[in-house]
Amino acid sequence: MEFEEFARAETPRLLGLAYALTGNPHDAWDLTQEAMVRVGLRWRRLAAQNPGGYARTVVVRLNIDRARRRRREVLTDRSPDRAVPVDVIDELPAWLVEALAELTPQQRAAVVLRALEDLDHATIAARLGCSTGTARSHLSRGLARLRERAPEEV
Amino acid sequence: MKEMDQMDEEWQQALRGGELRATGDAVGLIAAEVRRRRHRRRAVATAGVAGVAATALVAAVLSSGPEQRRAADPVAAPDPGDVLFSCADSAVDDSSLNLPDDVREQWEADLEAIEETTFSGFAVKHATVTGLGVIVLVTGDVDAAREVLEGDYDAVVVHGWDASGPSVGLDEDGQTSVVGQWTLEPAKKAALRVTREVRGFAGLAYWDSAGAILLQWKEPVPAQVQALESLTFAEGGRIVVKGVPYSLKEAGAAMNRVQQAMQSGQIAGRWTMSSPCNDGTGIEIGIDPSSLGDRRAELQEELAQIAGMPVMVVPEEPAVALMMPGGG
Repeated sequence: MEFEEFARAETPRLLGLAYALTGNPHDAWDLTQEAMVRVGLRWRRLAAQNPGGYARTVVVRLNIDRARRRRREVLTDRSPDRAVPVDVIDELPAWLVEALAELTPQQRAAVVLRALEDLDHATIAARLGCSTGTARSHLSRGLARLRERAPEEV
Repeated sequence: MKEMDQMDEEWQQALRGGELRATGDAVGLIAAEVRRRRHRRRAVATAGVAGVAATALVAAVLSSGPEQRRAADPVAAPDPGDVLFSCADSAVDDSSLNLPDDVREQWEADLEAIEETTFSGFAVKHATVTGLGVIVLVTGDVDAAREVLEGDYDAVVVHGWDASGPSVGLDEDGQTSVVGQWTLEPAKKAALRVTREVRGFAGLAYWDSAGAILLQWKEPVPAQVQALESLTFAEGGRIVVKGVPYSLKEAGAAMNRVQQAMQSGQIAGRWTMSSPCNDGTGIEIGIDPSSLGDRRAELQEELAQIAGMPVMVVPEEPAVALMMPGGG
């Protein structure tokens, strides 16, 4: 399979994951593009392995990194209306985006990976780059906090 | 599984229902960016082969003191939204590399240059930028790989790829992590040595993303312990000392007091587990959810009085129940 063929097939799935992680289409596109570019740069080696898994891991880790940086930085040069090559087909409900935004990036990633991809603790740990115990803790606390913050919906 | 069984189906459906669609030129934009970076990367690799200043820069950074290399606090800042006391999720923040940006960028350039090159006598199976530098797993002549790569780049650790690793759950990332921890062994031994001589040990953790061993010590940290931060190790790695409010021994005594109080019936609720907080700020007590109800805040306060330090109460099924089929 050529990289562009892979990108065409995998981008929709990656966008879905990135949208759930970030809650907005602009950041979702940024994450998806960066992850696909990293796969593209390593295509010769990844093609025979699991490029989709690699791309999804990159999306998850980049999002955590992005969230950490944002906590420390005041972003003033970012236009929420800038054009990105994605259309919103089905919007995430506002209450859900707000509830997810209350979680730490790791908790949010753990919850999303469990809900969207039905991953077990060990695989979530691999995606997050942490131990299984820590992943279990992120998932458990993330779910608990979701219930606390949005009791009427969750 | 277990957790998701308790979640409202509507919530999951809503999350799964969000959908974005890439428009026509999305893949073209990605491919163009890949080409642009390949071009830039070739320029970086050429500069690396020619010589030069790049590696000297890394050497200068690596030889600088721990204060200069430290980039982030090992424990993520507490969430201001939390009202109740809460332990940190982990002793260290490994969510991304804790390196100065210039160091990280240099190591990423080294990684890309290594990945682009075809070597004689060995092949690169996997290479990753870590807190210790670029860890490279190779097949073929490992000694030759060490001579070439560790000679050409200042922050590269070379190790042989274990082909049997994946069959026991050690894929590329797993083997990279193991190599990183082997590299940190001398630092870990030096950190543990002092625990036999000085009182106040609170915990020790591999801090992979910073290429360090984190040593937690009860505050005020004695000078003899603080001095460990100035040690350097031929293999790489360093020790980061962090002062915390409570020693491991104090946390152990507090856990005993709480367990006894709960098991004697002094406090209502079914105790299921005790653990020191990862960040040395208190203890974590598990209570059977069926006996906890909505008393978490109240219980945390009562138990903190008994413990003599902050207590985080978490709903935790008894261990036996967790081992039952379907118990998560």
